[in-house]
Amino acid sequence: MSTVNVPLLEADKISWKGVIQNCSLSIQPHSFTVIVGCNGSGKSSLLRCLCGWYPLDTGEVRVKNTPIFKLPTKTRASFLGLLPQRISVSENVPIVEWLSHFRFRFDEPKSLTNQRIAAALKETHLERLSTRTWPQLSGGEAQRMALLGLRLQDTECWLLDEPGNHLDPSVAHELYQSLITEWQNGTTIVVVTHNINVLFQHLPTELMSTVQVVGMSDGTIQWSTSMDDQHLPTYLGGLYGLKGQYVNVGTTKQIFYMAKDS
Amino acid sequence: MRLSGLIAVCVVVLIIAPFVGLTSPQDLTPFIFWKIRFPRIVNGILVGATLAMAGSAFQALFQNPLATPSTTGTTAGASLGALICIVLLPSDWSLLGWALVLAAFLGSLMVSIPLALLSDSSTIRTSDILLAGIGCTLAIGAISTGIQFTADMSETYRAVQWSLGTLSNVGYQSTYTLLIPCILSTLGILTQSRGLIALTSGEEVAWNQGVDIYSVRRNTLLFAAIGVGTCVAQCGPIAFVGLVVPHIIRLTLGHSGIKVLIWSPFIGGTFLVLCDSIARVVLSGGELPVGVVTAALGAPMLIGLIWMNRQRR
Repeated sequence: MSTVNVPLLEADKISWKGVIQNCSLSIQPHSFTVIVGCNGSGKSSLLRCLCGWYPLDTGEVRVKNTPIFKLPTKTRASFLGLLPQRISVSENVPIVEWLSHFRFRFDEPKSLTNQRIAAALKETHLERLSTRTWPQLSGGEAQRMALLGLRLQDTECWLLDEPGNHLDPSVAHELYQSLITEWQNGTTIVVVTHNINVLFQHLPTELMSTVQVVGMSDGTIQWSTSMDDQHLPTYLGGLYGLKGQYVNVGTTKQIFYMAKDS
Repeated sequence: MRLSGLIAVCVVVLIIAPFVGLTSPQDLTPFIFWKIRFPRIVNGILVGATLAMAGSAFQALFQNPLATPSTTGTTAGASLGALICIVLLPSDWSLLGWALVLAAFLGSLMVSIPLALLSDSSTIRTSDILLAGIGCTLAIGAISTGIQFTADMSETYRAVQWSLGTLSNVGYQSTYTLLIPCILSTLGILTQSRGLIALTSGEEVAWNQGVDIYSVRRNTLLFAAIGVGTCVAQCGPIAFVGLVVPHIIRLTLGHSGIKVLIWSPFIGGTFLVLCDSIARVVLSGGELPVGVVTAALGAPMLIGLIWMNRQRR
């Protein structure tokens, strides 16, 4: 039986505590999905419903057609990995030990885990941070480590909640670039962001049509379109109560927002 | 380097412990060694190891450096069971000792089992369990105070004496009772260690890494209750070991979660033997309850280590 068109992740009319209301969403394998919306629209809650963290009031989330609550925890972690807005670590835990938690789903010897972590740190040029503890990392370094953790988890789909928040522009650019690289290497990406312009700068033009943008407001999905939709600025402006329009900065298309009466 | 220093201190304490309280080494006759000191040291190691392990596990589970078995009502439940026994049963009944052990054990389970069942649910957060545990501790404490208030002077005295914790009236019989529950509790918690240390980034992150946080919570609470319930039943509630030992390890060996869990039984056992040795000699012609020494020694040790680490930063 062919598995083509079987969504990797599917939300079917899900609701949670009035914050998420009757939302349906389909995430195909190897796709890139951007969830946008104003503060309090339910974007982060939707991510948590999608990964199964929030127990739904109605509806169902399925991973490859299997209800998510029926998946064993380690199997679920092989499909989905979530990066929350900010990770707060309760101990002065050494970085290597912290990264080793992302290998939890693998029943492998500790020596192998340590080898994989060392190789991943080397590959991403983060070896210099290996002797630090978590609180000794800057915001940008912590976010790089978190992405490295997801890579170590070797999971099919990354769910990221505003990963560029609290980062300076150069680190944010680097982060989104690495997400796009990860996507091009086959990982499915679902990202909540307010900064869609940074994606316009890093996404190859020929791939814009394959990126799904989902707009949320008041806990419901208002619309879903592709990144190359000419009406995207209007849709986005509608979410924020502003007037959105494309502007060209150099060779890159950007969305500029203005007050409606301006 | 620090680890070898810590191990050396533990070995020295355990070698010296049998001689503490004797006027000369020759006084340590085979009878005193095998019938009195040896079982006391073994019991100290078992109880200290179990309490420290439970403390480390609870601090990891609740992501709270102040969490101990006392926080979740385990100790309070055991104390209430023992208190009811002391007050209701005749003091000259030959089976009072056994009844007390059983009542304390049942008391600890009476609190821990509902808490463990409560924790095995996705709608309950760890902070809710901690809050429920604190609530149980306070409620049971109030009931215990009420019972003591209605008891006569001699019963209240015995209850207070028991509640301070001691290793003095235990022998091989206690070793046999402690051995299996303590080992089961310590090894049981160790089986949960990977999940427990992953909780350092919070439940949500651990859950997304594939940790079955509900089973980690339930199993940790139950394994800890088995060990702590037996220890409290045998020796009374010995305070501070579960709180201070994990911090001693963090401050000497670093904050690696796995190191804290693995070394807790060793350091906890030695710490209690050290405190018990001091309890034997600090009063001329008498003994202090070991629970008094654990707090009196543990607190300055902890403050000293914090001071030393502050200067090193």
